[in-house]
Parts: sequence; C-alpha cells; structure tokens
Amino acid sequence: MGRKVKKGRDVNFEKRLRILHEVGNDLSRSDSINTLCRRVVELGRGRLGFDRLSIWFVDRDPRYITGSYGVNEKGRLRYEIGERVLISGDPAMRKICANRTHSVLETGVPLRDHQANAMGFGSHAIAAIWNGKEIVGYLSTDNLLKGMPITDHDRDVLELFAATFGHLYSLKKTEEELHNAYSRLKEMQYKLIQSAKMEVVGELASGVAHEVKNPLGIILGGVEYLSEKVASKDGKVKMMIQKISDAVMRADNIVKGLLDFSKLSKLDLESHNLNKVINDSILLIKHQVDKRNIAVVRRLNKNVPKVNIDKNKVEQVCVNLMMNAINSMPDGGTLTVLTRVDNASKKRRYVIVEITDTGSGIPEEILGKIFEPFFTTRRNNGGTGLGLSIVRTIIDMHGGKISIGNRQAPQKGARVMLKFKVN
Amino acid sequence: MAAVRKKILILDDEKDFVLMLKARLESIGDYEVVGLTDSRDMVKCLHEFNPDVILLDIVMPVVDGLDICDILNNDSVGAVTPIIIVSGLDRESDKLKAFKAGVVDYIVKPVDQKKLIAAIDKAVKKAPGD
Repeated sequence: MGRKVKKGRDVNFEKRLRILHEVGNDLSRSDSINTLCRRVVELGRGRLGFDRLSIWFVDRDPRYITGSYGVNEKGRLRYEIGERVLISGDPAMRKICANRTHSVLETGVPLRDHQANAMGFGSHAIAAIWNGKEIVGYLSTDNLLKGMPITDHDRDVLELFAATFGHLYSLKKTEEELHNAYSRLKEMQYKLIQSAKMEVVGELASGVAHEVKNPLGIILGGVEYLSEKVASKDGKVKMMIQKISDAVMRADNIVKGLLDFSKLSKLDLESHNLNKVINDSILLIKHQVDKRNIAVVRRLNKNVPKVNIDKNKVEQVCVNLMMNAINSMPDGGTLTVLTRVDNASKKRRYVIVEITDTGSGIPEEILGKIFEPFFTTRRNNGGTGLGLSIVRTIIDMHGGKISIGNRQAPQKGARVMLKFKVN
Repeated sequence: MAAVRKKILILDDEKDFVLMLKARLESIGDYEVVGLTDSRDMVKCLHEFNPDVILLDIVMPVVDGLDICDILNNDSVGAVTPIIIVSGLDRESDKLKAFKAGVVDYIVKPVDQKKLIAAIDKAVKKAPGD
C-alpha cells in the first residue's frame, strides 16, 4: 500500500517536472522582465497548480524586499502586490538567508493578505530565486484560497520553478542591460559624429573667416583713407564712400557670425542655475532696455533645479533672444522672462525659460524660416540672419528644445520657449 | 621744432594690406612707416630701421607671427621693441598665445584706425628707455 502511494506521488512529481519543463520553455519566450514575472505567476497557478503565488525582489537595500507580481486575497493577479518589507520580518526568508538553503516549507503559520493583514492559518512555502551568485528574490506560495495542504513535493517543485525563473530572470536582465548599453552607445556615437562634423565645419568657417577678413581690412582701410582725401563739399561721393564702409562692416558681421559658428564644436558644461544666467543676460542688455523705454518683468521660479549647461553660450542665447524682443518694440513695451519646472514627463524633468514681448509679432508666413542661416528681415539694419540659427544650434547641442511663435490673441508680440533637461 | 615721428615696422604677407596701412598711417603725419611682406627681411630691417613699434600679422607662409615673436625676443633690438599683432584671427586661444609670446596688444582685422593709433601710442609710451 505504502509503495503504491509512493509510486503515485512519484508519477505525479514526474508529471509536474515535465510540466515545469514546458513552462520553462514558455517563460523563455517572454519579451521583457515584466512579462516574465507576470507569466511566472500565471503559469505557476495555471499549470503547476500552486494556490497563491507571489514574487518578491531583494531591494537595493538588501535588508528589504519589494513585491512584484502576485495574487491578492481575492485570487486576482496584481502588480506591486506589496510594499517594502524587512526580510528579517519573515521567518521563512530568515531561515533561507541564515542557512543558505534554497526553500522552506512551514505549516500552521499565519497567512496574510498583501497589506499584511492576518487571514487565518495555513501552509506557506518559499523558495529563493538565485541569479547564479546570490539571492535576488523569493518565490512564495500559500494555500489561503483553496486550503489544500502544501507538501514537500510542492516545495521541491517550487524550488525548481524558482531556479528556472532565476536563470531566465538573469538572462533577461543581462539582455535588457545590453540593449540599454547599446542604445547609449549609439546615442554617444551619434553625438560624437555630430561633434566631429561641427568641428570640421568650425575649422572651415574659421579658415574662411580669416581669409575674408584680409580683403575686408584692405577695403575698409582704403575707404577711410579716401574719405579723408575727398573734398568735403562733394556730398554724393562722401555718401558713396559711407555706403561702401557700411557694406564692409556688414560683411564683417557675417564673418563674426561664421566665427561664432566655428566656436560651437564643444560645450563647456557645468551645473548652473538658469535664473542667474537670465539675470546676468538682462544686465548685458540693460543699456538697450533703458534707451528704448522697455519694462523688464522677471517671473523666475526660485525652485528651479540646476542644469548642466555651457554658461557663456546659453547667455549668448538669452541675450540674442532678448535683443530680438527689444528690436521688435521700437516704441517701448514690456519684455517678460519667466522660468518654471516641467514635471509632465515621468522619465525626465525640464526647466522651461519663456521670453515674451509686446511687439509686432512675427508674420506667420516667415515663422517656418526664422531658424534658417542667413534668413533675416533686418538686413538693412545690420542683421546677418545667423543669430537664430546659432541659437538653435546651441540649444540642440544641449539636448534641449526651442520653439518660437506669436502670443495668443488678444495679446500682442512673440513668445520664445527654451527647454533644458534636468540631469 | 617738428615733433619726432614715431617709426613703425609692418610685417604682413598681404601686400595690398601693407600698402594700405602704410598709406593710412603716413597720412596722419606722426609716423614714419616701413612695410615688409617677407619675414626673412625682418631682422635685417629691424637693425637698420630701429622701429619704435612693430605691427605683426600671425598667419603667414613659412614662418608665422608667433614664431617671429620668439625670434625677436632673442634679438637685441627685437627684445626691446613692442609688438602689436594685427590679425584676422579672432579666437581667444590665438590672443592668449600671442600675449604669452610677449606682444603688447592685439588688433583684429578689419582694423579700426582709432583703436590702432591708440594701441601704437600706448605701446611707444611704455617702451623701455622712454
């Protein structure tokens, strides 16, 4: 009789081992750690016959574990079934840690729901999940829902199941880490290529700028010499000489813009508070603001976190944008600068800088062109059209964003928004 | 008694620039100017003309302006003659190198006449022996 019972149990155990093998194959097709964990609980209950099943991972603080997928007291699959709990608070886990054993079965122990409320007494088995070197978590089962006893065989199957899971978990984690590392590498490679391109462009621009400056210098010097020699009553000739001089200065400004581009190949990144950068920029344009009767309103959020920026270049951006705003208000107006934090994305925070004016706004038909190099509506006033293209390049190099548009009616004027990543 | 004219030596490989700058400075009346386009004539001219100040370009074939600074620093006349760089290079790194080489001022082309005159007058005043 005893032999028949034992034989029956062996057959059942062998059957469950075969099922475990199939379950293992199924689990190996999981496309992420998240899916793997969910399938462990689903298949553990559905194919291996466990009652309640839950996964707990060892926290960064190894004294604690955190619940992953599990089954609540109503039999429903849940994610994040439990908060952080101390390992030392669970006798079974303590035994595993102390004795370095792989699994523990306890009977007649208090069973709890996911909020650790007592739900009566029953059996509870727990198996360590190993990644080959250390315990990364625990697979836990009890008989709260069906009340069927948990046997030594169940514990053995649980232990093998946890081993299978540990092996697959380790593989998936390595896979995900490799994937992330590859993505980071690709991003770094792209940035390096862009930086190398910018360096080449920069060298080219620098070389061209230098070569052009020589003939410009000759023209300007010659024009100044001629203007001294020409008789003062010949107004038309003097005017022509002045026009040549103005054209040379405009060409020189374009060359300066090219040289600015040539300096864009590298960023000198340090942690800065954008409010300070904005205040420093406003100081630089103070004279222009006072001259044109423009009010400056600052709405700077005191709690903006620091960002990694090249301070000189970002200051250049702010001054350029503020000067554009000032130039759009020849009869006076208001320049408003504000900073705020954007927490909308779960993955990343941003610091937003907004610069608005009460000027004439930007004609809709040119909004799509304003970032193009050499596009300008102020050519007769010395504009080179390089300012906004340099501004956008600097923002792009910081991994940020810039958008320019008109304020919503009935408000007049333009609005620029800059977005900087918070590290 | 007529004021003594200050002597200026210009070295730049751009011939038209040298001609233009020479004409401008001489037209003011306070300066006697010699212009060179070949750096190999520099040392000989330095000893014959004995300028009060040298206006020197940087980017030149064969020997650039900063190398010439080194040569002049080791010459008995060159070592006591102030050098003003007049160059199209506008980078901070170039200016830093020039000042480290011992120049007294740095003017970026195209040349602002007033700035150049002010730099020349300042350099001549500060020269040793004045």
